[in-house]
Amino acid sequence: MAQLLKTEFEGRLGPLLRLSLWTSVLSVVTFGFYRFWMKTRLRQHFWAAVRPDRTPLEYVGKGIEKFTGFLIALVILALLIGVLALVLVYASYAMFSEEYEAYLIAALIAVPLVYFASYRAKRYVYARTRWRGIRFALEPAAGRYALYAVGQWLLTLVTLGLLWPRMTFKLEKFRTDRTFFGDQRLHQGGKWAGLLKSFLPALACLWLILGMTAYAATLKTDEAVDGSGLPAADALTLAKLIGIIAFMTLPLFFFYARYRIVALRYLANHKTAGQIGLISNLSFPRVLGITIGGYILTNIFTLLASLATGAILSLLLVVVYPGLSDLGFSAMGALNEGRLNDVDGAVPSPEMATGFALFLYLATLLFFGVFRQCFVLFPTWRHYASTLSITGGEHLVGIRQRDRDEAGGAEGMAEAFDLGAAI
Amino acid sequence: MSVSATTQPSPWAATPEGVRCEFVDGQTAKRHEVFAELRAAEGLLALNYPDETGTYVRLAWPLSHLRHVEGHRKLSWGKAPMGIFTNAMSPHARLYVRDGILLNEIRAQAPNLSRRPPVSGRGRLMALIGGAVASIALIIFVLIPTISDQLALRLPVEGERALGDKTYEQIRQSFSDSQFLPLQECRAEQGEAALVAMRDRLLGASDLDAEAVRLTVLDLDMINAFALPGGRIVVMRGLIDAAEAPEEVAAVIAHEIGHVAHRDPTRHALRGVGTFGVLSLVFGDFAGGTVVLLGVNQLVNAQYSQEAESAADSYAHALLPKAGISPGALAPLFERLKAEYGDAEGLASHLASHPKLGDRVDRAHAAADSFDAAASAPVLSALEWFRLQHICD
Ligand SMILES: [Zn+2]
Repeated sequence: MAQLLKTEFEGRLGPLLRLSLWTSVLSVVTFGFYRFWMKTRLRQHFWAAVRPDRTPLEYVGKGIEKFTGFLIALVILALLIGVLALVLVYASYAMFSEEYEAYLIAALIAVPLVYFASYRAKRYVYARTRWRGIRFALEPAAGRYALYAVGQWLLTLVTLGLLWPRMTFKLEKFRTDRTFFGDQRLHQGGKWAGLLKSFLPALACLWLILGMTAYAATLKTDEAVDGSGLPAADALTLAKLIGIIAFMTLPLFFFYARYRIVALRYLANHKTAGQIGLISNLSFPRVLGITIGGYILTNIFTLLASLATGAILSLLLVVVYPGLSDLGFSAMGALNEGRLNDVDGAVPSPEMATGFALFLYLATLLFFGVFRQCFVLFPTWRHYASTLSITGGEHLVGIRQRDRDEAGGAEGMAEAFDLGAAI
Repeated sequence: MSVSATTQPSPWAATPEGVRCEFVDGQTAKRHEVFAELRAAEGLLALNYPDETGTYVRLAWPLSHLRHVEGHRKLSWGKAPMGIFTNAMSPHARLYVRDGILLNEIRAQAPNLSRRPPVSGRGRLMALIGGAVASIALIIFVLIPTISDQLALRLPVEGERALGDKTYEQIRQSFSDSQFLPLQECRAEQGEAALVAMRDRLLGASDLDAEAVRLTVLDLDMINAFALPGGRIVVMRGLIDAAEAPEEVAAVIAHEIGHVAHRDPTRHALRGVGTFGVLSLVFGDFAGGTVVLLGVNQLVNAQYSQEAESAADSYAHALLPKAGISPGALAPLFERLKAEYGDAEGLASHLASHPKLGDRVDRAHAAADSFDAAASAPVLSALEWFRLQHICD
């Protein structure tokens, strides 16, 4: 009889809020250099909350590994990005008097690099994840993955997005088939066509937008040819078209978000590790609700926290510069908007004012990050975890430990690119 | 099977001593129900469980070998605490304890729970940090300036202008009080005519093209002027307000024309692109906006090298007499700035940067000595000067 193991989720908001806030403050105070340790500690927290069959996942990575990996990647990338940015901006201004071309070429160079970096990052995270004391692993193949991804992208572009689900599937299969739990290799079953149906609504929106954009472009070229401007009727059509295109992006985002969730569920349900399988009951409405509600909460709390910080800064300003006392709690706001000219007595120097403004700005960023972590990522993670079950639990006996994968360089490159900003 | 018959825990066997916990041995993914018993007198934690074949496995973990799993010290199970322990000698094994009493006993009796394995490779880490800092410094201070100097000389004029327009818009945006409207350009018609007259007078005396420089006044209360790529020279209203004669403004503009002639702004802007690319890499998302903020500041308060500033001053000293203006005109404004703000302190302005104000005043006076006062002609009429002063009205 196949044994079904349910995943429990055991995590509370309070401890996460404390940890997230504290580590974020440390990161800001250290000019961002604590971020490697911050991410490590947050991962430990998120991993330990996920408990398939009551045993917590473990994240055993170390901040120092991430830091050294980052340093190594930094030197290589600084050379690449510093010089490349310079040359590209020069070249595009020299040839086109604009910089869009520079962005375009930079993006083309960035695509394989991003896939390369993300594969290496995954490899490191898998190598530092354990469940029941057994290591996960991802075989080293970052270079081939990057090439493979570029190929998939080309196919997708050539077919105007029709083969997007194929790319989703093939890339996932590439990684899954190289993933191990202990000595057991994972396998991605299923077919890419299985994702096609859920992608069609998004594709329809995309093609509609593309078609209308192309049509709008023809209207514009007429104008260039006559030089007499658009006939009134055409101008009206153009305005309408632009309106419709802008409106269509909304369903596009909606259907694409739905596709992402459905694809994730399909791919999970077709993953196996020998006789062991997964069942995912991920629900798109739930994820959508969590995301929308989470961002509303995040923004409310960020606003409140920033107002409180602004008030504290205002008090500080009033204490140091008594001339501002009439302004009271709005001193910080007045400082930000440069409305201090008509104040008697000493006012903060421009450097001080910039300092205060910078502090408030950083504090707001920090609060947003922390609250997003707690109100969006955490509940989403909870939903992902608690809808996941493992089948064939009796076969876990046969899975044996594997050797340690150093995964040197950790997530250095991904870190430098700021990929995977979420955990 | 006779083997299993003898080793199967039979209902009649004595109940194993201890508390029921969960255990994995770090060899297979099988989780075992173990009975854990803390024997304080012997200084060990006794674990025993039946393995897959039904054989009873007995382990004795010395309390001194017991460790917390790093980062998993404060786990809970519902409201109750939960402990995960491992053995320093078999670090893949895990003991999951949910029993509050046993948990407290272990925490009280095991002496080295929080001990971590010794840190290795500290020397390597230091070398790595040193190497990274040195490489980044080399890239920012040597490589990028060298390349941008070379590229600045090769950039065609149209490209330079486009680059200058872009930075100009950025500056107007970032110094604006409002989120949506950029900083006001001062374009009173008669004031602009005066400005054009001043520009033509200076350019006519130089060997630059008549279209090489565009003058703009921005409505900002800041004693500053700066040049952007492509020959755009921006004068802040504060500078015109602070000047007591049109010659003082003309002298500052002559200095900025010097920067334009030497292509300093282009060099600087290209250098900024490379440098900020690298810096945003170093500080990560933490500083995304900060870097942009500082970047714009950097453009306005452009700190060119000491040589570049001296060269621009020399250029002005040579240009001004040809336009019939005494190079000494650079001095009075600087003298007043120095009286008000001290030597290059407190004044966040490119005008006050590297060469000490005092030195610049002295050199302006020295240049004025060889100037024949009889050759001087007012750069603007009194009326034109009045109109220039009200260009922002
Ligand atoms: Zn200068």
